[in-house]
Amino acid sequence: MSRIRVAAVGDLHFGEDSAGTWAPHLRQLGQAADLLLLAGDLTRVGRVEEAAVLAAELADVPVPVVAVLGNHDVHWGTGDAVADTLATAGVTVLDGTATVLTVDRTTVGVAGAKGFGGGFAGAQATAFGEPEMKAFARRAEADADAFATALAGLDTDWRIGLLHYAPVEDTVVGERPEIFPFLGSYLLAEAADHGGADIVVHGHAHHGRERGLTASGVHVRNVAVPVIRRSYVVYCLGEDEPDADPRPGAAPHPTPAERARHGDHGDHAQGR
Amino acid sequence: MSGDPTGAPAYRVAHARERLAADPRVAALDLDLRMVGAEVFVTGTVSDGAQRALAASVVAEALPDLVVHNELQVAECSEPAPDASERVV
Repeated sequence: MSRIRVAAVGDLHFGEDSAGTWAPHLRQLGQAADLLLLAGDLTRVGRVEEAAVLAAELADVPVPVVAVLGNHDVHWGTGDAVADTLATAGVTVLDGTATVLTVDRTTVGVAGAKGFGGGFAGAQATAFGEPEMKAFARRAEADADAFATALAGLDTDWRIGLLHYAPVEDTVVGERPEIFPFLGSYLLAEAADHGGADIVVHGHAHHGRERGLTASGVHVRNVAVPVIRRSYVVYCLGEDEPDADPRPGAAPHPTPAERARHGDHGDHAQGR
Repeated sequence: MSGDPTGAPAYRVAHARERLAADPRVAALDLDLRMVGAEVFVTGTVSDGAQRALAASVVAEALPDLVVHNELQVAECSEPAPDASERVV
């Protein structure tokens, strides 16, 4: 099982006037990472035209791209069309689903969901009282259940959780505590713990912090642009093992240059 | 309601924040407004210079009797250094 390098960013908030604002900052991505995760709020208000601008910006990205939508991406009421627009550009858009990539001989599963609010353990919303309150709490439960199912179904070397909403308080600290229930849900962390995630990345909390942990010690990273202050960040899972296959006569792993010559940047379930 | 100069400052600021979220040109949910006398200070982070100007103009429309101080920051979004990565596990 080799090291993999995961680039991630969220909250790009692309508008129709955003062409050319991000691609110039992706020039090293192919050398720096094996895949790119987009943690939602990819558009300003969820218009297809905005998604099309982002899709064009992603055209030359040389690694597989996996995304979830955020609350901004569904605001216009056309979230499915936003997802379709990104998919036509080769982006795998997850919504309570998972995808599997192969990087060299290492399998990488990504379970993704937008998630929802509801708050964190000890101060969470409960399905009690008015129908609207029950609906709010149950929506959080349903999204977390879908995330848990997607994660539990992964039988891969690495398991990554991709969310928009936060699973833990750690990475939203810096926001006003009054709005924590609108920033994430502890149910997402519980799902990550049960599913054995190696890392969970999310966005949404612009004033939060980058690093946190779930109760069981799963690493959580808030990759919203205002938090990371970069066009993406790269997280490494595992040690660099350029030729770790113990089988006699096993072929060494191809170098990045060899992979590039063969146009092999990994593959994933829904194609890119 | 934010435009009523006789309204309580706290309510006027709250309604102006709603305008920032509802205006599709901006759709900003996390900007802060602080009203001091006849002035309002706008703080937070936006994606680019155009958004910075637009957000301030929305505040000016919502609070037309106030002097708007645009203290918004533009988010840094430069590419990380080639070897800048974190070993997580």
